[in-house]
Amino acid sequence: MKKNIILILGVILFITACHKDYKIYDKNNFKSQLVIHSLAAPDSILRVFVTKSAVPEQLDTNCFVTNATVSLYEDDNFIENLVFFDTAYVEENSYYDYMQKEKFLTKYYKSNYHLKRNHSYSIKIKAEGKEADANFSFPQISAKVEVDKNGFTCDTNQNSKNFYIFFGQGTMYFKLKTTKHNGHYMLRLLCNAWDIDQNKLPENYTDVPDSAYYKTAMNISFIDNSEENGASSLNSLYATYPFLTFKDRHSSYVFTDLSDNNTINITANMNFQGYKRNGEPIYIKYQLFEISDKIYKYYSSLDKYWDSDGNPFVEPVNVYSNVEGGFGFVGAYNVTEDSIKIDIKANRNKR
Amino acid sequence: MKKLFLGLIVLLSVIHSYAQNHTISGYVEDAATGERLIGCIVKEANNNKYVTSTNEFGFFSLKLPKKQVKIRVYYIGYAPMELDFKLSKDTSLTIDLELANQLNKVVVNAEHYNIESSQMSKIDVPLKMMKNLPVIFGEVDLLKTLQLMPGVQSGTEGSNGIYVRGGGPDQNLILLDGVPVYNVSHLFGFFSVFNTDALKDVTLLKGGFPARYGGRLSSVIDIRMKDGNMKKLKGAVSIGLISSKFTIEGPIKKNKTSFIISARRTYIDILAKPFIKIFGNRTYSEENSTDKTNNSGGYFFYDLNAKLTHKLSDKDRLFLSFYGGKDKAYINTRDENTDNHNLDGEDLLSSNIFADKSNLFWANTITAARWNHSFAKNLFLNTTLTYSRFNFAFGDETLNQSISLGDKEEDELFGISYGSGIKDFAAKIDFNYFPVVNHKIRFGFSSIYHYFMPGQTHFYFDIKDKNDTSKLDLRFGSDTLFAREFSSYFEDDIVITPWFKMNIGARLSIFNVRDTTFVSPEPRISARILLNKNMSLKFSYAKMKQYLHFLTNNTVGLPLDIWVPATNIVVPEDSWQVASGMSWLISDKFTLTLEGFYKEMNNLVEYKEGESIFGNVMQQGKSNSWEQKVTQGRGQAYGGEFFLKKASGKLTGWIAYTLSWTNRTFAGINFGKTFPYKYDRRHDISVVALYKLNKNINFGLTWVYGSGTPTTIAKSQYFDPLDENGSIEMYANDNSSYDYWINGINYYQNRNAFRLPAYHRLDLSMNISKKRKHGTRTWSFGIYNVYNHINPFYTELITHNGANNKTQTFLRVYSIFPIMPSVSYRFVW
Repeated sequence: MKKNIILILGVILFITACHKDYKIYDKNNFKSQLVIHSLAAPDSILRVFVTKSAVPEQLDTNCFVTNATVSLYEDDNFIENLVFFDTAYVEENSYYDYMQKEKFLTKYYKSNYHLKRNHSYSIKIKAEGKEADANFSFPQISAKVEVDKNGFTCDTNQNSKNFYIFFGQGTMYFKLKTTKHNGHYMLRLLCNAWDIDQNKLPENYTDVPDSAYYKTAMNISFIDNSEENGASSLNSLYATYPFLTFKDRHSSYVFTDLSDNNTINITANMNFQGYKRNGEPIYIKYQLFEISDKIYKYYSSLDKYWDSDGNPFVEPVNVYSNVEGGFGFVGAYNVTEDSIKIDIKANRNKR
Repeated sequence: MKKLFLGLIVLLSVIHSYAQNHTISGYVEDAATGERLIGCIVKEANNNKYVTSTNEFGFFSLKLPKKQVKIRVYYIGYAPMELDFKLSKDTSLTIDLELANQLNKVVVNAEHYNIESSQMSKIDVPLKMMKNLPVIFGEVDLLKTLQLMPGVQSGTEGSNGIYVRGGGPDQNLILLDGVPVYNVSHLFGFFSVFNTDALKDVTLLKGGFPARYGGRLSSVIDIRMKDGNMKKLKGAVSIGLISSKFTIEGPIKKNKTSFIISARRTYIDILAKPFIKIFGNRTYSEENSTDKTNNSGGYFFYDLNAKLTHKLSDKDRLFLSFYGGKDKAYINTRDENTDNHNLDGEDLLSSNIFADKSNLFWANTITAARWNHSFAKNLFLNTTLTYSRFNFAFGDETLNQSISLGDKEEDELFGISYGSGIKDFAAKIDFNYFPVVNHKIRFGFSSIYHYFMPGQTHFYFDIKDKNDTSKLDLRFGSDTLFAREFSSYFEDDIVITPWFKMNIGARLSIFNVRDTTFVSPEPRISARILLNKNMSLKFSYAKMKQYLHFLTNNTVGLPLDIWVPATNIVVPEDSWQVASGMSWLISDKFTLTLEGFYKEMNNLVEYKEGESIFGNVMQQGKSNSWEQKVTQGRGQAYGGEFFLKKASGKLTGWIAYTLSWTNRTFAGINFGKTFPYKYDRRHDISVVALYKLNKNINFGLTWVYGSGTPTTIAKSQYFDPLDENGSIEMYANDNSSYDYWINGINYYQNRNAFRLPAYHRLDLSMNISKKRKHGTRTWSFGIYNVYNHINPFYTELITHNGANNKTQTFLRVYSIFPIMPSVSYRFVW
């Protein structure tokens, strides 16, 4: 018996010896900081998310700051104070089967004013005795995109009285030209249809979430025209120097750097599929985003952050912030977009 | 004309001094074994001007005036010897020294030579003492002993990482019999590859590097293997908790040819086998079905040191040395499920087999062939041919077979493997030349052919089912690379006046890779001012170049690190270091060394933020992709060291204290802001003591303290609406919906901004020896981490309810080595 007790004590000593907890955060004396997030598009209103930082591992919905004064300035002239909107809701039995309830947090400050190109803006926040601010302006349009489409085909199946499924493929040729040194760009291709991830067609329009629209998954293979790199088959672009590649979690963006008067030819092979309301045409939309160096830093650091999060092989990464007196990111971008209508009648019922 | 005149005067003075002197040269050997002794002091007893030491092959040459001379020869642990004779011509000697304890004589403190030498920042590792110090699992480890020296920081708990004066582990030139060793770790870094039974001499240089050493920025660890006993057959067997080893050495032909073989193997896998058999293999049977599981796994390492020494003549010696070591971890699993169905009177079998084999291994191979020749009394030649290889690999293969009612339904094979490595072929020629009494010249050339395999992945599958077959065999990764390195050096140890001595030298290295060639001159200088016969001041400057980069992920202790060459994109690393210090022989027993240093390192290599050895497939698919994953920056280190040593008496040992700072700056990391290096320890203290109670029993004590190392831990957390599903226009488009929830972004303030708790532990040992009929047996008992301190190995943030039942966030520090007793047995004959 004595022997056993000694053995058990020995095992307990061994196990408890293996870790120790240190209290390194004092929640009562923790000084939270204001966090601002906003990305502005030209001729659009501005939305600003204001939250506050918390002790690590203890961030919750209380982080939203609802009583802040959010002031918008254009070229140092006061424009307006933004109005707080709260449309948060909880969705039960959400799209994600594993989550019984899902919180959708939509709390932000909104402007009435539509932002314009060729102006510089600043946002100043005052809340809970703290102040934070950030400046931004739209990048100059310096890139042109020329698009050529080639041999799109699209087959359909009629499996519902209201909707039809389609399967398409085709190739687009892009020519990107810029006059700016070291610009940052994103190219995105979208299809105006609903995703068929759920493998069944809805019966009624109300079953279709708006969020699916223009987010249909597309398998796009970008083929760089440079001899050095050859063809690739993933949703990323590789080009000759100077270049930067970036694939966000949406798998649909490509970032490139183009130096003065540089041209990059890109071939995008697409396989697209989805479902649409009967009688509606299919469009492939391409978007060229021109983003500032700061947005690029923010996006890249955010991407690295998520890649390194919980990865024992990578050192933790900080997300880039341009907010004075707090955290977060405020920036602006330009977008050029156009659509190609896909003729489905000619291909209908080929499948 | 003036230059010619001056040159003539110098030449005449050399000839004059040459004419006035004769040379005593030869070798110093251990009288019992014939082993040649390195760093043994040979001096004219009555004149400090005439002093030299044996080189790494036991050779010395001393020029003395023609007269009655009294030569004193001494070496730590050996009884000194005096030779009194009239020097009338050049004389060759082989001096045999006997171990002091065998003669019961007082051991001479050889630190006198360190006071007199111009070399600073040098530590001679006390190998004999090391074997009696407390160690984890009773496994004597060279690199763990080096961690107890001033200026040397350890890595994570229990690991054998060596960080010298703010440098990284790749910046240590670790030479085993003159051959670089690329991976020094067994058992995921907890043990070093060096079997101490096979070692003769170990020297650590932290600064003031003589020109003969080059290729790394921060230190030189020069390890020499024993040559083998030339007189009689000797051996030793050690049995420890996790490994055993044996060493056997002796003459093949007495005083002519000798050998030594030393081997070691762990037996964790053998010990674990019965348990795995009991718990890993199971069979369940029901009426018509059987479910069988077979699991096996294990880990082992072994190493083998061997050396052959042959005296071709009194002037020539030939050495062949070999080291081979391997670590392997493996897990095999097999699940087999069978069902017997009887359909229409016919027995049909349905079965499913799932088998998985995973393994991980890394291995070192080192060979060297060396020829020593003394041309004349004052010229010594060493020629070496070497081969060094390190490779690392892991693989996993999965087989899934299913048979349904007698028909093969599926047959799937998936496999992935990864391999990396480096191979070197090298040739070296070194000369030691002693032209006049106050000059000791060394010069030489070396050429290395490097072959790099920076990481290749092989992915394959073969899927067969009833209707279809698909196969893939894909290899991707970085291309292999070749590089040539050539270097030459010249150094002169000059006695300018009896109180002022200098070692001036330079090294010129050339490195060629792809179509790029780098040329680098590296000046070296060190100086000694003798204040009195027991005290000297020393200064040194050294510029170093490193053409090999080491890609390492700081966060894990696996040998996934890759050696790659400098290229036109990732250029060579370089450093310069200045150091000054004082050596003081306080008494015959105590020596005190104080040193200060400042070091700058440029073009250091780190993975870019978010990058690691495991990049995405497409990036790996691009040629030489590792160059795109790394960034270069600079480092800085400075500090002071205190080293008080007691080398003789019943109580021996040392106290080492280091106060230092080291940091890194990379444009692409931490937004360009300077951050502390991962092993920046402000204070580092080691107390080492060995008390000899009597000739059979001794006690060892080691206490180490190190300030907490820096790490990156979140300071706060905030919400970012642009979560993993976010897109850029979600902020601006009022019609899109917002499908997101709280995703915390950690704010880290700076890389390595947080200090972990301090590291400290106490280890104790007791060694009891007894003479037996055929030899001496020793039982060694040890306790590692006596007061069971939780030393950080791995950390994470966790939340649980605190004292007031509110959720709190804690830093959980995991330790892998709590208090650990050990016992080992050793028999030496």
